[in-house]
Amino acid sequence: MRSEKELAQAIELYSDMVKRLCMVHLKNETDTEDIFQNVFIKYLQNDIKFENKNHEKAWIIRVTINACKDYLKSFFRSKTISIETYLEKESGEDLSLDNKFVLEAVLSLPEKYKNVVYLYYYEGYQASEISKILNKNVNTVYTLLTRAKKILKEKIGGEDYEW
Amino acid sequence: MNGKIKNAFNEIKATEELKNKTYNNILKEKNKSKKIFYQINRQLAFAIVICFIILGSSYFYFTPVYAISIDSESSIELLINRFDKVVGVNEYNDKQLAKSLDIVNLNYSDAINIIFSENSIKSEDVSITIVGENQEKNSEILGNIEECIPNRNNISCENGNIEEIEKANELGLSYGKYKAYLQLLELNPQITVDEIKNLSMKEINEKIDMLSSNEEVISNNQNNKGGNNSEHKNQQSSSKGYGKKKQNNK
Repeated sequence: MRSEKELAQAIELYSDMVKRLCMVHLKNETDTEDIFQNVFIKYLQNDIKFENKNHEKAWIIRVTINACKDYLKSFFRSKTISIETYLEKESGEDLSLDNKFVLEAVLSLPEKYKNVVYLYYYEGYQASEISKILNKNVNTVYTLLTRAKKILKEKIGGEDYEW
Repeated sequence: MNGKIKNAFNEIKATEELKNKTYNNILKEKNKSKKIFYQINRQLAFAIVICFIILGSSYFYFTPVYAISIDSESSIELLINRFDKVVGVNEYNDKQLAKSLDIVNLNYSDAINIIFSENSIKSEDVSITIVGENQEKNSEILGNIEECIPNRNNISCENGNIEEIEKANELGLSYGKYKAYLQLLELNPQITVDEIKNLSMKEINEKIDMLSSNEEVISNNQNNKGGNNSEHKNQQSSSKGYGKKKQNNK
């Protein structure tokens, strides 16, 4: 079991990432709180010795995505709200119209594309790294990315290098 | 890459409130599970101690330290624990007396009272032997039993030897019968355990008396023929003393 200090450090370091991943999958503040708790409890109780920070980060991403998937299957999850309402609630008036527009486009993607898009465009992972994190074939990751780009192009417009 | 998606996601951040709430809730859960763990451990330790106490006292209670062997028309052996309670009844013939008696967990004096008062033992010839490592206790039990038994003739009580009772049990005999068998064996080396197993003590004693008197007759005849050597042989014959009454005869 990890120490309270390690827990505090992990929360400080990965909270934003966990929050974004939760936002990608869940559209409810209460669910997000539950996922936060589950992910960091697992972190506290786990004895895995991470090779480096990247290894630790990848582990947190995997655990968060799995927790979100489990939550989506759960009967007890809270009601989801519309993307618009959720984004307004999450960021208030701080979110610019452009960013709101982009986020809406990403969040409205089919479930299977969301992780790949987030990991590729935001976290900057390569397809081979994404395949390891998501435990998918590299070619599958490429296919998912290509299809997601096609949808995003329709919604956001422009070329993918601009995204 | 212009980073539109990156810029958009950058605006999403976990609030300090969420971070603190998560941290505090996890610590609360941790302490709670620690408490439950210690509570379970304490309960487990308590349960183990209780189990040991129960097992220990059961072993203590159910381990016989004395045996009272009662031989008449049937042969039963009462196994007595250190609290003077009957913890087992062995029967060494097919008279089914033990099954009809409800004496387990009773004090041995009460058990003896029941055995004799219910007319379970009708024969006049009864041999009672106490076997235990502590001779003082044996004598105490013997004294108590003698007080319990109603006036009957030919009831003999004696202290037995714990090694001999094991030998007796190996042969499927009660201690009293085993002693009688040993006497018979000296008088008639051909006699087998099966021949006497289902005989009552009265019948066995009659056999002993008969064989002893036969031997005396032979011995007397030899004495008459042998002249001066007769005295010495007489002494040898009577020293076996098979016909004589046992110690502590009532």
